[in-house]
Amino acid sequence: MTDLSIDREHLEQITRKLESAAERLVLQSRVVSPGAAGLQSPTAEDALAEAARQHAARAEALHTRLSELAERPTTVADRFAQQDRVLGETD
Amino acid sequence: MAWTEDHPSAGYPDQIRAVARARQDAADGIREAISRLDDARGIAEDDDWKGEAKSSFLTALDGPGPDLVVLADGLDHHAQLLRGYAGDLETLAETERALRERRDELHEDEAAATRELRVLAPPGFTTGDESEDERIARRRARYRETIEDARSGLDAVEHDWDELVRERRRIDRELAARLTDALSLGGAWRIDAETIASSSASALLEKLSELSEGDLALLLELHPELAETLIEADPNAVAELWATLSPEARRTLVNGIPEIVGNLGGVPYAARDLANRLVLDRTITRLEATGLGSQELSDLRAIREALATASKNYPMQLVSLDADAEPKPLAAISVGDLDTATNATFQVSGMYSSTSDMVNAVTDAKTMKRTEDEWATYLGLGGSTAVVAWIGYSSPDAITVLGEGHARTGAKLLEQELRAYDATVGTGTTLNINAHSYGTPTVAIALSQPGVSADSFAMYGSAGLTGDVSLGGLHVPDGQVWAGETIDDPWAPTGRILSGRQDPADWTGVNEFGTNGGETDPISGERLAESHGHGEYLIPSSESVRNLALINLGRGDLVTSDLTTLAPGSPGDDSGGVV
Repeated sequence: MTDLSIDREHLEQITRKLESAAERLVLQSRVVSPGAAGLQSPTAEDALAEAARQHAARAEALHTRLSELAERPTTVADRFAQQDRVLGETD
Repeated sequence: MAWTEDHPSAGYPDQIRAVARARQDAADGIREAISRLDDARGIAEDDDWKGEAKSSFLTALDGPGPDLVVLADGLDHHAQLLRGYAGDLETLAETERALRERRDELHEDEAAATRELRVLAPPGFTTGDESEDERIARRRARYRETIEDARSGLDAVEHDWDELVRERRRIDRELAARLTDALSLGGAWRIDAETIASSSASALLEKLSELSEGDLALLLELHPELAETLIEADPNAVAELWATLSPEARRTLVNGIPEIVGNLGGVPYAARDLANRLVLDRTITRLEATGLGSQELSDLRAIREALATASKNYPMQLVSLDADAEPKPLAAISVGDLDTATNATFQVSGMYSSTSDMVNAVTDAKTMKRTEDEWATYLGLGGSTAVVAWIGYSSPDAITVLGEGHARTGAKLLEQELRAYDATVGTGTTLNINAHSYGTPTVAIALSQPGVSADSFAMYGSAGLTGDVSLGGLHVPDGQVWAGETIDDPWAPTGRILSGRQDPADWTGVNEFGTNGGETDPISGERLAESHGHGEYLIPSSESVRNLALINLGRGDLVTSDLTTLAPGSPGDDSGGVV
């Protein structure tokens, strides 16, 4: 087990920053359904909707990662330490 | 509504600009998130934090950065494209309006000239006044010229209109292409359905190793078929590729597509363990948050609970996990380091086994490892052991146990696992399979497949082997196929009779081993615990476990048969024959 000791106040500050970062990633409300953007072009509307879906999916994945970091920073740190040991140090 | 050739500039620029503004706001939000992440990094970098996890935590904080930038850039790019498109539509609308006005004017000119022409005296008519006739002729010529000019002008308008329609098509195509290009969506777009279908699994894995974590996660969501394609990869090719990857690329794959890496033959088990634990944690967190999948959640918690029983003497690796398998999650846990163990045993469970029982399955694996290690020490054998509790297939219930379907499906999965073991660990190790009940036909089918082999195969309480397998067809060395059954096991013979499957003990060349216990170990002098019925084959200190451990260690010569009989002339046999 890795030594995860960190000053509580530091950890709370980090957590607040990460929560704040995660909150900015909620993009679902900005996802556009085909036909809703006023383009009046099925080709472009479909492409926009598909791209918006991909943006939302990427944002959601990042939101999950940031939330996990905010909620369980020591667990994530321990996981990364284990990964360093097993997979080799990253640059 | 779509634009038409009658209205090629149709669209709502203000609405489009509103969408562009929303994209821009989202991009700004992402950039703020990047800034907060930088702040968090700054705090974490502070010298006050002395813990050794500091550098790991900083690495974790660095992870999302590149994907956040891709996302912010993509949203910015969209905002820019949409604003440009709104402007283009306005230009098209102006052109369309001008063309409409011009067309209306020309139609009006033509109609007016036509009307005037109609009221003029027809050609050939004479008023008798030569000068009047000439005036009429001049007017007629002028009107005809006007009509001709108008028609020619209308042709030009039609031509320009066609151009307008073509231009609309062009800007639509361009917008659609750019909305989904690399700048908009990052790297995932480079691997599309066609690439997945046409690439070899190892070539695909090589491509994946160049993507970011975010791209990988996105790609798997967009193309779930990726998992199936990769799982078919030749484990030898995967092992070769994995060895060439940088630690960073390995980490990216483990964190980006843990669902795949955790079950990918050829990837070292320690790395698979990291990936599978990540999937386990994330799935449990997701199910706890949504309140869905209570049975799945319960099974996954059982897996986590089993892993929590690891200790210094019993390190564990979650060597496979299919959290979404139906009807229940599937998993395999190795007790001992499967990458480095010189002697590995897969315990394949039978009817009604599932990950709900993972704690018990792992307890059995620990019992086997402890017994193997004790005997290895006693006999002065070198090396190290690992025992895998393999609940990697969906086992049958009391009805379906009579059929072969679960065994055949399970055999395919086990076959993959055994091929993966060979590729990952390489030659020079000993691989044993212990199978209980319905696990025995499952294993026998797998070991009959070309290129799938084991150093020993021990069956206990066999539910019977399918008609298409034979001792000669099993890829196991001569004398290394074993069978044992307690005297009061009610289910094994019932299963064989009702299903019509073969009793392995009837095969000439299969060695029987004792399972009943209750006697004294002829070597250690300790009392061997009794096993009764169908479910006590793996209880600690039993004759059954003792014998399986010795078989797995390659010391079948020390195995007892019923009533603790030792093979004549064995190291433990000082009786000169039957004990």
